[in-house]
Amino acid sequence: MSDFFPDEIVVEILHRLPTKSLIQFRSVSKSWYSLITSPNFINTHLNHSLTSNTYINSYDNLPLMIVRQCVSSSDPRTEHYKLFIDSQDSFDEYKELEFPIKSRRLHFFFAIGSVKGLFCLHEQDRYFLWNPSIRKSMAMPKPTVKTSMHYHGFGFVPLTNDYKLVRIADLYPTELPNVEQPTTTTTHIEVYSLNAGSWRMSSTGSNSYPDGITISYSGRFAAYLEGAVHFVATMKKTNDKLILSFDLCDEVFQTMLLPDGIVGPLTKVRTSVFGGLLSLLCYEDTAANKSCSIWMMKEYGVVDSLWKQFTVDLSGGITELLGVRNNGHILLEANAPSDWVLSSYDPSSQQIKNLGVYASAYRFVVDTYEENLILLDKPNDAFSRRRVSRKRKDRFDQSSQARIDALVIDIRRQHREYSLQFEEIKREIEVANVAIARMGPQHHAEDFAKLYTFLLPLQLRDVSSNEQIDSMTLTATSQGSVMNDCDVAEKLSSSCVLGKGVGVKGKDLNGCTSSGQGKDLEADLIKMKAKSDEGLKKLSQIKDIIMQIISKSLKPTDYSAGI
Amino acid sequence: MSSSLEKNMLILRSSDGEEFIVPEVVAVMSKAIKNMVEDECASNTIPVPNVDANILAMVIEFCKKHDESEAEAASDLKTFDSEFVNRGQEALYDLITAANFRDVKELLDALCQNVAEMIKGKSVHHIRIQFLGYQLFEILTSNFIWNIWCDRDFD
Repeated sequence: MSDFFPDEIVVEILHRLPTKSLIQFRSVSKSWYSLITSPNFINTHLNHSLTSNTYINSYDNLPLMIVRQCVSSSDPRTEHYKLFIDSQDSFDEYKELEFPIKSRRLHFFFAIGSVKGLFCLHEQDRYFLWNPSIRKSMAMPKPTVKTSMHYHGFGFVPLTNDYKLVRIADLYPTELPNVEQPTTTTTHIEVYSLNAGSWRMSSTGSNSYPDGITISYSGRFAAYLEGAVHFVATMKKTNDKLILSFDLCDEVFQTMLLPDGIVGPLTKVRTSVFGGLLSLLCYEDTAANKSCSIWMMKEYGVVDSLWKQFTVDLSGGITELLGVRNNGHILLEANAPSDWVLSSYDPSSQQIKNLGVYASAYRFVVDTYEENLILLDKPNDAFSRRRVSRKRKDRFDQSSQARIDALVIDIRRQHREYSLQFEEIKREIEVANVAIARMGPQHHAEDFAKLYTFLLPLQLRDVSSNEQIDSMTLTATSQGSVMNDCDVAEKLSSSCVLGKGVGVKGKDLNGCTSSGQGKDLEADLIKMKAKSDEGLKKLSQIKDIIMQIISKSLKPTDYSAGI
Repeated sequence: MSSSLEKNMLILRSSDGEEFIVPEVVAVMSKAIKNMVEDECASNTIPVPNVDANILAMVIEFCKKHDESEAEAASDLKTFDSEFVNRGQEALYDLITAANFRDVKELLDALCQNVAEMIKGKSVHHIRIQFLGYQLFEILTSNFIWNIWCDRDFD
């Protein structure tokens, strides 16, 4: 397999790799880098992992679920995202993901949605996209309409491989500068497209928005299915409930009136996706009846195909239904003595199992963990980085800065020494090469030329690693822990790979991310220094060997030349 | 050779001249051969250049199994696939080239999946050696130099 594979085969193989490997393999070569980060590859990779088994492509071949856990008892309030292994009998924590975005307020973020592994969050008018599988996040520009009343839907457009966020904003007369009809509110539909990278007022959306309805606020994801997001709305006059769907491709609203008998006037309805079907969670909260029924729409878009899957009794302190596990059990939020706890409910035996994940109410998010390369081709977030670095610089402690500087100088010195040694070896080989070319048999000269060509690219790589250290420290110091750890990790790994000659292996550092904090950076640098120490030793050994060989091989030729 | 045999069977000739008699349904799993059959430019013997007898036999074995087991359980086929592609690197490389060249989609899928499984935990360093044929110091010192300079005669 020392030969090259044809390009199309390489692409085929890369499509079958999990995102973690692909992130590492960007530093294999320039052509691999541009291939893996191209939008085309990102899309086809996603389609490939969607058509194959959902989790077979993930790094550890595990059925993983992602759980958002908001802890308000700790100070400051922290938002955790954890992966759990969803197996038949257990639901064990696998690892915690690092949440890169810091809130500027005391609140938690509002989770707008999670589609194909991409999370969308917001806080007032700051909107973020976050892809946990490649540890990259991005701030969106601010929307143009300022209002306090808005509803969000986040989803994927298969036709254009785009991700869209729709924001339905009700503007009250007081918020408008020129009011013609002072009593009515106006509705603005704004759509953010990731491909376009900007917000846009949607005229088709405004035109098709039905009159006389209000969207019910649920505090939950608007269910995304079949390229559309689904809200629950109420007719103002009759108080009838309906499903309002917004097709993200055509940007058109459509309504589905619910048949009689499903919901009463006091029922709280939420849309969700259970088992790949559009589902309605109907919460009854009266003294006589505290329950939640799950209605599933067997055939998408046909309201008559709604059927009641089962009803969960809520009198035992269950507050919300969150999602469904692989084994059919329902994940729900239950009341615990001081907090709320994630629990698993078995519909057949009606037993509830405490899963031991405690958090504050109504903020749990549970979703299947999917890996996606989206955002990999997006530039790093200048906006957030600038903001954070200012804060961080203040916090950055002077002594650790000094230590880091010393480390960097040390590593640079080692690299210089390394290049000097390298030059020496190269010179020796060159001299030997010339000597042999003059007097030795032809094939010996060829051997030397071969050796020489192998040494040359290695040396070039080594020189560039100096610049890499520069960029690494620069990025790490200027960039906060908040944004784009992935970027630092990537720089680290590529610098290590480039410094291959010094014995630094990309693999070792790929795993560890510098979160931009001085401590981590320092640890990484110490590691790097140890590696280059080792590399220098290795190089001097290699030098000895090469010298030996050269003296050995030159002797007979010299001798024969003498004769 | 009877006419009925000729009707349903095709003869494939490998690059080193060996001939294989295979049912047409099996042979046309290769899109390249299918096109040749449909265009009726395959009279009786189809030459399969660039693929030697050894590899061609493997490809035919794979296609036969897939043809027979269409009704069989998918999981059986999967285990067969994973066992089939579990070969040494040399054979794997030749098989991929053959499958790509003859356009046998199922085989190519299985092989690529296998290579992906093989490399997914590997380091960048490893990939460079395996995929791009980079020679590194380790190889230089351990094999390459010694082979060149120590194993030659100085007369």
